Amino acid sequence: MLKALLASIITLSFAAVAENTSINGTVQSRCIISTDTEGTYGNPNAYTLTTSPTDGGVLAVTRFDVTLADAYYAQVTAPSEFSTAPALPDVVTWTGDTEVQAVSDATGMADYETNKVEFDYTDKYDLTATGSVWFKTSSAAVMGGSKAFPGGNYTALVVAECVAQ
Amino acid sequence: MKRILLILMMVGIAHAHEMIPTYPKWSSSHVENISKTTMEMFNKRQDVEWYEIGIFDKDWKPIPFVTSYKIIKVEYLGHVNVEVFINDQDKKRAVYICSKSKIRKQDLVRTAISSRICSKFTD
Amino acid sequence: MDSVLPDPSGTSINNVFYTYTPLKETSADFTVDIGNWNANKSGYVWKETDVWDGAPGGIAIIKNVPLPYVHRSTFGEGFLESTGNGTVTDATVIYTYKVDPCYNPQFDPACPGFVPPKVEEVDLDTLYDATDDIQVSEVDSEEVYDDEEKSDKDSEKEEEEEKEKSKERLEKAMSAVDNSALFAESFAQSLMLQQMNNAVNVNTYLNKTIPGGVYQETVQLDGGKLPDNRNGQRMNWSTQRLHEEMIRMQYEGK
Repeated sequence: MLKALLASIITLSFAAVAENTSINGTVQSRCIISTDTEGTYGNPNAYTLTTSPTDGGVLAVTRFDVTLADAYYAQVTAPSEFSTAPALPDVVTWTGDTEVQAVSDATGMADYETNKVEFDYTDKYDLTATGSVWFKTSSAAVMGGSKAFPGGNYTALVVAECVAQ
Repeated sequence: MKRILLILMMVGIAHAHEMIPTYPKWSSSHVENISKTTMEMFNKRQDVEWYEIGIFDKDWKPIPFVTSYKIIKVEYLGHVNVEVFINDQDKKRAVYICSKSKIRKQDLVRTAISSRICSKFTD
Repeated sequence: MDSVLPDPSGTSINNVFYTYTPLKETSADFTVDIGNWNANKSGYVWKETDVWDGAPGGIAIIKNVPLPYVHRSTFGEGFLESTGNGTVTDATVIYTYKVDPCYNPQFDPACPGFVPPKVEEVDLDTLYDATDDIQVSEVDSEEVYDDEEKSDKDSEKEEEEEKEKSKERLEKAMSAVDNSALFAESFAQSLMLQQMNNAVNVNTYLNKTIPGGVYQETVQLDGGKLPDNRNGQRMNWSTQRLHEEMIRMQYEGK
C-alpha cells in the first residue's frame, strides 16, 4: 500500500503541466508605405542638381501596398525646396514628377498612370486594385542666373501619402 | 533576354510605415463631452523613429485634439497604440487622422522619403 | 527544367517570383502568359496571365506566385509567351525552394522511415579455402622437396655466410653510433665557440669608442683698430713733461 502510494506521488510530481499561449492578430484593410530607394542628386554641371540617372543621380522610389481595393488614394509630392542646404546665392527653380515604375497586377493597375491627377508637384493616384505599386519620383533644382551651387550637403524630401477614401 | 535564377531564400529590405484601422470610430471616453479613438502604428523604417499625429477636416485644415504626445516615438519594428481624444464639437468636423514621419535634421544625409498615412472617420 | 532546378531529389518549390517590362503603345492590346507546364504537359504547375490592354509601355510588373511545396519532379518546361503588339524585356524568373534530405529515408538514421541496414549472414562453407586448393598444396610440396635435396656442406656454407653478414651489420651499426657521438661532440664544440664569439662581440660593443673630433671655437671677437684717445693726449703729454722734468732735475747743474 505504502509502495503504491509512493509510486503515485512520484508519478504525479513528474506529470507535465500544459499551458496554452495564444497568438493574436487582425486582418483588416491597410496601406503600407515603404521606401524602396532613397534618391540621390547628381551634379552634372555647377548650377544643376538632378536625380536623373543619366546625370549621376538616383530616382526616389516609393512602394504602396494596399490590401483593400478602392479604399485609398496615393499622393506623392516631389520636392520644392531643400530640407538642408548651405546658403544659396540665388533663387532655385524646381521641377519634379512622379510616375508608376512597377505594379504587381497588370490588369488592375494598368490605368494608374493614365488616370492620375497632377497639381503643383503632387501626383494623385486612385488605388483601385489590391497589391503593390511602385512610384518613381524625379526632381531637379536649377540655380538662378546659372550660378554655381555652393559646396555642401543638399537634401530634399519626397512626401508619400496614403489617404483613406 | 530571359534569366532564370534559383535561390534558397529571398531576403528583401523594405522601410515601411503602417497605421490601422483604416476607418476608425469614435467612442465615449471617461470624460464628459470628450470622445476617443485608438490607432495602432507599426514602424518598419530604420531611418525614422518619430511620427506626428494630426487630425484634419475635409479641407485638410487641422483640428485641435489631445493625445499623450503629438510626436510619438516608434522604435524600429515597434508597435505603438495611440489614444486620441477630441471634443465632441470638433468630432463632427474631423474627417482624417494622419501619422507623418518626422526625420531629424542630423539624420538626414541624403534625399529621403517622408511618409504620411491617413485613416478616415466614417461616423 | 532539369538544367534549372537543383539535383537533390527532395527539392520542393514553394514560390515563384517574376518580373519583366512590356514595351508597347498605350493603345495597343498586349497579353503575356508565363508559367510552367507539368512534367507530362497535361496541365500547368502554375500560370499567370497579365493583360496590358490600354496600359502604357515601360511599366514593369513584379509579382509573387506562392506554391504549395511542389516537388521538382512535377515541374515541366517553363514558358513566357506574348500575344498582341509589344515586346517583353528584362524578364527574370526566380524559384525559391527547400530541400528535404529525408526524402530518401536512408540518408540519416534520424529520418522517419529509416530502415537499419541488415547484416548479411555468410555461409562459411561456401568461402574459398586456400588450404584445400590442390594446386596450392602442390606448389608448397615442390618447395619442401627442393629444400630436402640440399647437401649438408651447402647448409654449413650458408650458415657461415650468414654469420659474416650479421657481423658486418653489427660493425656498421657500431660505426653509426661512433659517428653520431663524434657529430654530437663537434656540434657541442661549435656551439661553445659561437658563444665565446658572442662574448667577444659584446665586449667589443661595450668598449666601442666614439670619435669626438675637434670643436672649433665659433665665436670670434673682431678686435678691429683701437685709435688713440685724443682727449687723453693732453693728460699724457703733461705727465710725460713732468717725468722729463724730474729726470732733467737730476742732471741740471747747480
